[in-house]
Amino acid sequence: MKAVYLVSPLRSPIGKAFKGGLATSRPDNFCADVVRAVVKQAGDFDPGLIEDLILGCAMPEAEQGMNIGRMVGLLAGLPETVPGVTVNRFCSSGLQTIAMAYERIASEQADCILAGGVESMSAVPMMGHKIVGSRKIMDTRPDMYLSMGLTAENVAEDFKITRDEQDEFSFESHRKASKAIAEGMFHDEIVPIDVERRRPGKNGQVIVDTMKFAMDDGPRADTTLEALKALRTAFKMGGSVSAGSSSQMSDGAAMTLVCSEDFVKKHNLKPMARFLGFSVAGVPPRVMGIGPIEAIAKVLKRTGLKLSDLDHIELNEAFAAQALAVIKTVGLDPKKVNPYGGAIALGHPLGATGAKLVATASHALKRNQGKYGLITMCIGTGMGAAGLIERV
Amino acid sequence: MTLKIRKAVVLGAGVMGAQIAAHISAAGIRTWLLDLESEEPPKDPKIAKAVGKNFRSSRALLALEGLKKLKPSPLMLDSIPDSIIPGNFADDLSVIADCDWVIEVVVEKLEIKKAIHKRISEYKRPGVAVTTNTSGIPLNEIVADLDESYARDFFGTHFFNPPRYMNLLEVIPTNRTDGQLFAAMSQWLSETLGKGIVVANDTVNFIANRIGVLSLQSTLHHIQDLKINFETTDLLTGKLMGRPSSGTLRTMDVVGLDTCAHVAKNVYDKATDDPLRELFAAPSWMARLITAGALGQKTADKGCFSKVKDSKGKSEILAYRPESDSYEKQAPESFPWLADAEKEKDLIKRLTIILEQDDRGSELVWRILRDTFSYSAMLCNEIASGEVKRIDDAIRWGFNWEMGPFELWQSLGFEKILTRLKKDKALLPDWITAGLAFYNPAPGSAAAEVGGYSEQYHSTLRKMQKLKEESYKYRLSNRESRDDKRVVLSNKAASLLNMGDGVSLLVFHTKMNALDMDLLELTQKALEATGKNFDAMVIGNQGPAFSAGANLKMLAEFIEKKNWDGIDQMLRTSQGTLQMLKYAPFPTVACPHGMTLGGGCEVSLHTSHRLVTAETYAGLVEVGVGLIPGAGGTKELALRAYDAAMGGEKTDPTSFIQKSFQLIAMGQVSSSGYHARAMGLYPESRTLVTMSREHQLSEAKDMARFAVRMGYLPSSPRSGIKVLGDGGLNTFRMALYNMVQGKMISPYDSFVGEKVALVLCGGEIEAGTPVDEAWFLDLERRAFIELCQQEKTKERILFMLANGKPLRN
Repeated sequence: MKAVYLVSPLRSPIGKAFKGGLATSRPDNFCADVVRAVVKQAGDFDPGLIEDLILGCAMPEAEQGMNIGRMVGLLAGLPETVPGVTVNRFCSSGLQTIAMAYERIASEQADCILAGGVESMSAVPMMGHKIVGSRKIMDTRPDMYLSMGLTAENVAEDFKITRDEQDEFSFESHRKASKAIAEGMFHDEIVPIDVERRRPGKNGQVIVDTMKFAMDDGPRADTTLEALKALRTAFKMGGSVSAGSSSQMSDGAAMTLVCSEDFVKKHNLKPMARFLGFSVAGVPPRVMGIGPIEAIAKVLKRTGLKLSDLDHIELNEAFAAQALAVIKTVGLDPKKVNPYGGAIALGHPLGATGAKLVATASHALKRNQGKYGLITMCIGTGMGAAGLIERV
Repeated sequence: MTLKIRKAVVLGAGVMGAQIAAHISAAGIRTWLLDLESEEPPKDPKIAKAVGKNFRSSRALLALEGLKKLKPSPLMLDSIPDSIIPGNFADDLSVIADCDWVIEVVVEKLEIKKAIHKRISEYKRPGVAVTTNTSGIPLNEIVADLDESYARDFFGTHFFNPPRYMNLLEVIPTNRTDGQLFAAMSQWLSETLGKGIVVANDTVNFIANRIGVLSLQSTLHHIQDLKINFETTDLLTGKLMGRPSSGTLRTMDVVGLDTCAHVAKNVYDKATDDPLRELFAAPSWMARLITAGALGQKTADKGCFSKVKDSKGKSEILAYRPESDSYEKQAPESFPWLADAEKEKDLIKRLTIILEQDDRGSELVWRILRDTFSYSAMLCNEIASGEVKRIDDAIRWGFNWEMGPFELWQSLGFEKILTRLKKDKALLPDWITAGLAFYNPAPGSAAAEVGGYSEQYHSTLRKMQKLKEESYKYRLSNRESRDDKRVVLSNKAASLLNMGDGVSLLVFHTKMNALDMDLLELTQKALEATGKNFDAMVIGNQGPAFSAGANLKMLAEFIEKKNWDGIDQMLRTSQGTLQMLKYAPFPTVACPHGMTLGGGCEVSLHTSHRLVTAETYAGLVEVGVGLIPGAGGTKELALRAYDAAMGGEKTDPTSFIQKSFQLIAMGQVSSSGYHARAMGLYPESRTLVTMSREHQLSEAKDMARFAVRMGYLPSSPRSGIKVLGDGGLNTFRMALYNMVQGKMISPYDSFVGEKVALVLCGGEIEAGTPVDEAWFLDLERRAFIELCQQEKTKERILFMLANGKPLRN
């Protein structure tokens, strides 16, 4: 297997769905902005050499339909010869695409691929615009349709995660994220997006407001533990999961250039990390949040690394309940998990999340001079994914 | 004189001012609400943010916000607070110049009221009415310093709280008020605001509170003497006497003991020559409770009664015992005649039974009536200028008694009562003489119910006086409508009347106007007869509810006997009748008012037009008894959704079907007539709302005539409706499954919900299959019968019949 490198992993700032910085922007547009920035930052090479653009998206329809992978490449101004594809494994899509690029390059089927993910939850809601239930599923496996919030309730019950623990975890997520933003920790990984808003002016004239959206708008520096404790449960009467201990709905995009060693050397590129391996695993849909438990074990076994080798862990906080169940069961070191906050504060743009966490982990390893990083998340209908990177 | 009132300004944003503004705004009047200006933003940052730049008007803004929290809700639509324009006295008084009615509701202090009227006078256009809402300050003093042109436009109003729900509005002219303007305003207030108007003199507490409070005070006085406890008092002075079921002491708890005491004290202090003044002194126990802060409902339900929780957490209502100053378990006394009296539906017959007895219970009822009759007669000249009807109207509308004092006296037998009054040495004015009648025709007679009173007794003129005919009030007889000359057809459940001008009127008269087989049979005959002999048909009544639903008892009997064919036949008759109604070759106008639920609501969904009163609580609530609307209601809401989605041809009907699903599966009931339209129950295009219950039938007749004149085109049964089918149904199953998992609904709620979805989605067939209207009716019937066969539906129905509220199972 050949070594595979990540060059200039970058992301957009993450905006709150419906009211945040990207709420009125099209996902194909802001993802193309990130692609342009990645290619530009990677170095001086011919973009015509990019052999594919693999883009993850969890709800690929409407504004993010029409094979958005191909649309984004053309919008970004890549040569028409660079093809594009859209890949969907829900919340791990953005990591899955990097893994697919890694597999093609490691097996010498390609040298340079753009991979990442995008999601506008403002544009396309969870489950898409048109939901049509299946009689067969309802008659035989209705748990396939269990809402994500209820799976978190099941995890909280099975793993005995209390309401207090969830609220404290969520409060910490906001505190860490707010601190990271205040200290400029995301500055290097974020591509500011030019946002345009159109509104009616006088005499039928359209007023175009432009602004630069440069920083995640999800974290609430002013939230308190008491405020979180006071929230009502959102999914189950008498349950423990509230909106405050769930990930935020968000808009965002993240991309990286994935290259072979030869390509890196030939074009004098400066990779940030080496991609070491990737695993996915299936778990019961009723407790989909525990997916990372299986996926982490698999990827460590395949790569021969131990938990203690890890310096930085990005565990997607779909829900505080599942994140805590994963941390406790796997025995992750809480200090290494999401030191800059997680999706409860920073947001979870479904299909973009995997690539966004890769960008954050790569930059954190560089900043802190760590060696190994783990990126992992749970996936709806009962799966987990995990990827490993090594700083170079 | 006709008034054009399109803009109004309310000055004073207290609880009453804001509620009056909400009511005026609901009637379609552009309304401003002003109060004292605030010099700086509110201290609370949250409130400051909500108030924003307009902080100088924050009193009015916060009052509008407060309307959203009041119970019962003063808002006929949630959007009303946003339609009222907030302002303040410093910056916005100039809007007065633009307004057609100025309503002053500031604090009850003479100097403040005088000052604000002085400022109003700087802006108000001459000829525009300016009113003060008060219950204690002599009106002449308020405008004493103002010139004649202002004083001519000035009069008093006394809205009862809550103003949306209390029918009575007392209007009080001064000796300087312009008679023409006053009469025109009174008519406008009745028609546009839908209020029951009583003209009162400027005397202490006006009419309703003077007489009504005397009756309360008399009760308090006599129960002490007769040693009757509180719970027995409420039993005797509630429904038995034709008064609200909360009786005397519970009513005082609801109003607040401090408020009751204040109103009584007002008479005691100010009306020093009052004939029964001593009764207005508060009993010592009442003063004790007030000092202890036990004022009733508003003080944690502690007053004359106290709501407590026992060791098992079950709540219990204890009664106050003045002698021991403590709360004890309720022990209502029984009387040998009580069961018979409670069974008797007719108020006069009931009171006659009670008054014939010889015990403390009967004695209490008599003494309260005695004081009320005597007092009303003694004060009639002073407070009502000798017009007995003013007193009766005020008491009926302001205190919700079935009959006013004079009506009651005459109905119980004038001479019989007079003899007993004299025996008791009750005070009586000299105009009360043998052989007197207060009304002609007699109260409660069919003639009075149909035509109203043609004459009343005038106690200053000392003779009968003709009453103005209220032609726009179409009246129905509550009892024997078959005796009515207007009746064309009739059976025990319904009648068809001739309204004149080619319009027929279908009236229901079952208990709560519930649908049964007789009612449906007469409806069919009425449709045939109207087709032959009339141009249009109105469906309406003047009962307490348009129709509370279908007769559940009959259905329970079918279920008990497992007579599924019988249920099928009943449904076919219901559906068939309402389809006849829907496709009648002439316009049909339903007149929903009050409770319009279940089957009653289904009737109103099938007419071509509707004239709905503002106080209409309409909904398809069948899921509460484990059923779905089975007379075509589910079908109607399905058709509505597919129509909105343009027949499902290009547009996905899912979100429209979801809306219909919510209406039925959550049993949503409208909070007003406007809301019934806004929530999508009644189509906007052929539904109008009226504020006036009294004018509803006449207006409906006009609406029917108008539809005829405009060339009514009947529609024909529908086909080619492309349904959501099995995929849609399973989408609903998915949502219901998650709600069960989240413990938000019970598994049986989900089972019933699936049946609603089944019909709305058009059954377990391919998506996009075209079906006709009859297919929906078949689905509706099958689902209804399947639900009847479930044990849990049976439990729900039996529980509802026994307890009058739904069972969650």
